[in-house]
Amino acid sequence: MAVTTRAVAGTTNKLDIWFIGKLVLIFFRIMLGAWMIVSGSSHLLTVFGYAPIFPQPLGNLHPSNVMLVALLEVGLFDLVKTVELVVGLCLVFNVFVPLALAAALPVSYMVFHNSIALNMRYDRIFSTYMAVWCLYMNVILLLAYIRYYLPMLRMRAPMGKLEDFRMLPSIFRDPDQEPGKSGH
Amino acid sequence: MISDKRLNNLSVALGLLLTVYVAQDLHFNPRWYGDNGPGVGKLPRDIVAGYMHTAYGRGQVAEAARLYYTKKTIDVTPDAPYRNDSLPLKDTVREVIAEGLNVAVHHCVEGDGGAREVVDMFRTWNGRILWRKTIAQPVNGPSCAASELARPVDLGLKPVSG
Repeated sequence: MAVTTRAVAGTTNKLDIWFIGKLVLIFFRIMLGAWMIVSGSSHLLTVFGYAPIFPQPLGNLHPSNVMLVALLEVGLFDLVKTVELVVGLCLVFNVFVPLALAAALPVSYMVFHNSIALNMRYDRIFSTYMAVWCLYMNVILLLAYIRYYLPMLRMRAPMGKLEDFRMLPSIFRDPDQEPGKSGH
Repeated sequence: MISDKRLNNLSVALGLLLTVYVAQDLHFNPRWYGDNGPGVGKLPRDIVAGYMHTAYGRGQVAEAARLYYTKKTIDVTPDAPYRNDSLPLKDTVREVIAEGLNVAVHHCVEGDGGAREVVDMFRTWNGRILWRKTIAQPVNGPSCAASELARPVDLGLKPVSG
């Protein structure tokens, strides 16, 4: 799959503390994306009759078992895993990242909730398990991309007009990455 | 030092490599790698259905245990009926109750020695049966069809036919 990612051309990064921070965030983005691609595609392979990458764990304690089995039986798990796969692809290929992170948040939270609360593994809150770090990385990345959520967080937001739909093609334009400038 | 565009391309390549690494790490996880049992990856009711098809439907209890039990499987009622290989048994499932990893099946089994109303309870784990208990009582009639428990239950929702 050929991908043209239209990051701002011409910006050169210097090796300083901000660049190292940027590298850490890039690692979070691709790690979260990789994990979500594998997790999502493993279940979706079974939907199409193939063997999964790994069999879906169904939890240790009863509440976790009940939730996961119910999600599978009512078909919601298919939706969750499709969201995971699409979000994972967006994160790895660095496209529609703010949207992907927002869509991933409910999924990341439920993975965390299932792992910690439903299985009563509170000792894992400060561990390095992906089941908890998927939420932590998701939240940290949301904060890193907060500039794209600011219009959504306005306290007073008058309703738009039909003409606003003409601005849709702007989502494919290069963002303005210079600090202090709003691209909206 | 490095442009954003180049950094982005590198991150995409690394992301794909990381995806492959995560996939192989999860695929070869010793918790499940190498277990090719027919129930692996299936829902609890499907595991139990597969077990019962082999144990009752084909009468191959030993084969069903080989396919669906683990070394730690506990049979709480080892002296219950239908624990030995036999001819295929006629098995009428009346009700299945499944919650989480637990499955209870009320069924009527016809074989040597007449018909019995049986409640089999299972707890599954990782595609296999971890725990099993059986309660059986003789049918109050010549066959499962004549059993009192074969009559549909009137829940007061609609008229019961027949």
